Amino acid sequence: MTKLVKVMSNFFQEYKATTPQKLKIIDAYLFYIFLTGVIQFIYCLFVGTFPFNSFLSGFISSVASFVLGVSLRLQVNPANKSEFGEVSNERAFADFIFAHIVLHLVVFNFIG
Amino acid sequence: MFIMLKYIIPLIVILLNFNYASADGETLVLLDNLAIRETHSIFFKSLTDRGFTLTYKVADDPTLTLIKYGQPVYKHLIIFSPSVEEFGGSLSVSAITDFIDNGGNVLVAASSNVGDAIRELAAENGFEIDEESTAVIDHLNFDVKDDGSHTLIATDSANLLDAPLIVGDKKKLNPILFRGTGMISDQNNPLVLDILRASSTAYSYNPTKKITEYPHAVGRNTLLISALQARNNARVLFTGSLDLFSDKLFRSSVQKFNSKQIHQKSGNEELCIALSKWVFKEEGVLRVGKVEHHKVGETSPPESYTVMEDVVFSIVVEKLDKGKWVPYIADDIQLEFVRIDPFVRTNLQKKGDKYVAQFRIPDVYGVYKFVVDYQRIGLTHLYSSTQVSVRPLQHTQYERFIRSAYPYYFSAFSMMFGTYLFSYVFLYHRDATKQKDE
Amino acid sequence: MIRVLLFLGLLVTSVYTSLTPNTFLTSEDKARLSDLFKLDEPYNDIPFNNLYYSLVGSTVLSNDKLFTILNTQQTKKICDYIQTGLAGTSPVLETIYFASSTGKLLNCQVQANAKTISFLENKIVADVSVSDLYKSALSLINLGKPVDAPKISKLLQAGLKKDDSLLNAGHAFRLAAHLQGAGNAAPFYEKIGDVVMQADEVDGRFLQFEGGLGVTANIILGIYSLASSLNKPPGLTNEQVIKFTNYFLNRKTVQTVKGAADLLEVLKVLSQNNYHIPVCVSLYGSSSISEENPLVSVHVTNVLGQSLGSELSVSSESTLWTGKKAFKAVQGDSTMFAFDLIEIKPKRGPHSLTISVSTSKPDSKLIGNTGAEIKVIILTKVTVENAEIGIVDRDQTTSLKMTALQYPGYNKNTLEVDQQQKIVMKFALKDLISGEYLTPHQVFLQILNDENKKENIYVAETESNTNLYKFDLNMAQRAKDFGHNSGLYHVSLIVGDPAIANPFVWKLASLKISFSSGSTQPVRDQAPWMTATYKSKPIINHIFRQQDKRPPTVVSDAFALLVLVPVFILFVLWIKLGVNLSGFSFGLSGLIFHLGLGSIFALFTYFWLELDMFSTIKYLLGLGLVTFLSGHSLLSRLANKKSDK
Repeated sequence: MTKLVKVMSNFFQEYKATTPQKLKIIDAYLFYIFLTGVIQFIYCLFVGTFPFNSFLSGFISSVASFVLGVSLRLQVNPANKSEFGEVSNERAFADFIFAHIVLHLVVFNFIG
Repeated sequence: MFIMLKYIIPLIVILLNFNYASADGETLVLLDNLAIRETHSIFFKSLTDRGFTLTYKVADDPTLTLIKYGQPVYKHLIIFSPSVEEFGGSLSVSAITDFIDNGGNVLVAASSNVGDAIRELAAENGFEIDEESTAVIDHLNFDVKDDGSHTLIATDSANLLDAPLIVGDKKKLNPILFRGTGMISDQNNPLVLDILRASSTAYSYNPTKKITEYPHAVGRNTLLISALQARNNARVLFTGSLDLFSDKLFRSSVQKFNSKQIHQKSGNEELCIALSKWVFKEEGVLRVGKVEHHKVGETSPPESYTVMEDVVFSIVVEKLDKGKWVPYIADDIQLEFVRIDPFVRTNLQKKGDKYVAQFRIPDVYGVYKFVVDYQRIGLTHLYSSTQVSVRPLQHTQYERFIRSAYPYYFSAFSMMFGTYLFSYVFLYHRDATKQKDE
Repeated sequence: MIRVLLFLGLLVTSVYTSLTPNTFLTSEDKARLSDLFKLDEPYNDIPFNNLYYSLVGSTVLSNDKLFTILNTQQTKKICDYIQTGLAGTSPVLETIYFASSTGKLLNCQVQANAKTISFLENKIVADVSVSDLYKSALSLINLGKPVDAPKISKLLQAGLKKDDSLLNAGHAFRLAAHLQGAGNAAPFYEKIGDVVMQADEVDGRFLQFEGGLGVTANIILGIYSLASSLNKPPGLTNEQVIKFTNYFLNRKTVQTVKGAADLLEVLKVLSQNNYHIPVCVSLYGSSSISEENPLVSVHVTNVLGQSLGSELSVSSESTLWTGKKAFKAVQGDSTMFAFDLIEIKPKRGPHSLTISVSTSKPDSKLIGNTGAEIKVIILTKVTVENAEIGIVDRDQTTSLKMTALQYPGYNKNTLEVDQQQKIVMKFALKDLISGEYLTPHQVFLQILNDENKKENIYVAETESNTNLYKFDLNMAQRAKDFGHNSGLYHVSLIVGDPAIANPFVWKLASLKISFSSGSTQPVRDQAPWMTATYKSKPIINHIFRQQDKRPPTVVSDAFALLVLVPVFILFVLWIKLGVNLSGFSFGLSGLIFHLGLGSIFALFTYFWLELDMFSTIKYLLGLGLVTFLSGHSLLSRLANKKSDK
């Protein structure tokens, strides 16, 4: 158990040191989305799936937002420039916003 | 030109009348011999007084026919010819059976010398009449005017079926006199009505022969009068005694063996008139009037219903009373809402001149029928079926803004809000001055 | 008992060996007929034909003493009414005929006006129908006017030649009876034979003419009045007269006024003419003779039920004795004669008596007075002897414990039987009067279910060559009869016969039957398919799907707020990270882009609240385009700025 704690604290230290600030900002954003999703899921576990469409809609909204956020972070991360060289940060952001518009349209149609 | 009208107008009148409804009250009476017309004159007069048109013919008359030029000539048939072996003209047992299948009503009386034609006709209708030369014998319930063979049966009106529509008020009836042969009925046929049973001590057998085999009919299984209402509501009545309808027994007094009580007049006349009213569809006839259905609060039916809607159904039921249609009053008419099987069954309540029921349509969609299926002893079968379609909820008819979904709503908005904020932050955040510059 | 059956055979097949009328016009018949003839005031509403017929009938019923029914005042009223019928301005033949006939009957002194008389006389011309000729000629005769007899005779013959129907024959005879003068009536007398030949015989007992009561009565009346006017015999044989009489008496129950009047007129003639007086011999009371009812009583009357005189002797022959035995006249009723049959101790069973009626002075007018057959049954009383009942296993045939039964008692102990056993019963039926053993027609055993009242009846048979009855019931074989319904039953013996004066139903024991195998069958009236057809069906209430359980609002609200907590966490984290908006520049494209994005999200909110997809897409296209263009512009500016750096 103590080994796990030690590994975790090492991980956090390294994270704080090596990660650029921009990415940390995105990470905070992702963490917020993640929390929201978890809370919805716990709620569903407690009270059941009624209304299922609303649950799915809300949960998918969180999950998809998280995925889009991760996708943006990947593309914006300087360390991945070799993979996403042709995609400028602005382009990644534009895609991100476009996807979000589509996502939220669908979410609000399905949420009932 | 006007001369042509003189011929055309009667022709049109005739053509318009050449349908089944015009054979209203037209009755063919088949007799063994024309003397029966005079010995049963009271019964026949009661029919003509009520508007029936009687045509008397001998049963083997070669000009007999029930259908002329494809149209039925008669609406009712009375067969008072027990001993006929074969009907004349185009009449036969199968012709009479066809007549019943087409809705015609038949009244048949046999007697101790019953011929095979009548026995065959009875067999077609679910009854078995005993053989020729047999009679119903009851050594404990005969009238004192009996000739010694104990075949003039005096039976109490309590032995009648409990059906006032068929037999009238049986409490008020004096004992019935019967002299003839016995019948039994098919016990598994739900359409058969045992109208008058003999008592436990009666039996049907040849009075001159010793009993060597089990009698055709014994005890309360012996039927004196029986009837059948077919599924098309045609009514057929059989009795083993032509004398039941005779003037002599109508006018006769009744005194039972071993009893001091004398009834001045037998119950035969009242009973036979009540029976004739039932058989010839003057009593116990129902019809369906207007059927309406609509949603609660509206007045006309929608194109289709939606599940779980409240619906109101109303039906008008009328009964024939002395030739006029009057409202029928009962408290046991039921309505079924059927999609292959009934989903809802409820009693109809009388409101004004209609029978009304209100219920909630089930949450199962499909094609349903409003069915009113009313069958009671002595009444014609009332059946009304109205088809409607029930559709499921439209996607806009579901519940929205549910309290227990608020977390999900809030999270969706939260995501949207988060994204909006993030758009600002992502675009305009500038990191702290590059330490690389150092 | 065989003799009983043979006797019944004779009764039932209705072949009578004697023709003598066995009925007459009884007082009940007379009362009913007189009801038919009742006349209610005011008389002026009654049509003349009904008036005439009613008065004819009443005359006969009152023995020609009409004054007992109508007093002088009423008679005068009728006469006045008739007078109006004969003094009309437009004469109708029917009216005149009936009015004049009524006048003649009541002896009113009515006068017809000249118009009426000439109308009648104008009817007596060539080619007139027999019926019209009859009515007009008779009207004139009734009114006392002279008639041309030879002319009428010729016209009548011509009319008959043209149409010789039976109805016309009757009219002709009756009219001819009124024709005075030689040779006028004689031609019609010759025709009587031909007409009589056209009569139809029915069942060997009745003679009638086609057309029924009216036509037959008309002809017979015509024959007798014509013959009597010519002082000649009627030309009918005794046998024919008796057969006609039987027909008329069979029509006693006639319902119409005209029919009743015709009937009474002809019966009167048959009781009063000079040639044929049919004698009616009818059994009075029951034909069953026993100690309680020892007398054979007969009515001996004419057709109208009147006595044939005081000098009558009635005697009878029979197989029960040799020679003749006399019937004694009954005190107080001159038409009734009786004989004590029980006195001579006759054998049980059916017998027939042949009755003869004669007067002290031989009277050839009486017909049908010999050979009248009366059938009687001598009854006996029956009792049950040596009755016993027992239960035995169906395999065993050895003697078993039988319970003795005493008629008419009831066995106190309940017998128990199950499907593996048989019920066995033995008994004998004894004639109490002669001591012999009997085999009555009906010897049945009834087993009745106390609860559902279903009965099973079985025939008991005698053991071969003895008169002892044995009955056994194998419960396994007969289980179906009982519908496999176990329970309490009771057993009764039913004995009956035409020659038994005390038929009985003897409830002798109660039985507890247990069925082990087989499914119970309900009685028909309670069978499920009967109930389903004719009774109300059970109510069905649809059970709706249960709604999903929702959490209490507290919980949902709590989580709703909880879901917003991460927003604050986001703010906190960002502040901790040192988020800034230093790159923000107030460019138009930037402004429009952010506005556009915000408005799109606002549109989505509005879409959730109110709009449908179609309008949303519509607005989205517009807003989206704007946002895209401005966004594109903003992003390229930002990208350029970065590359400039």
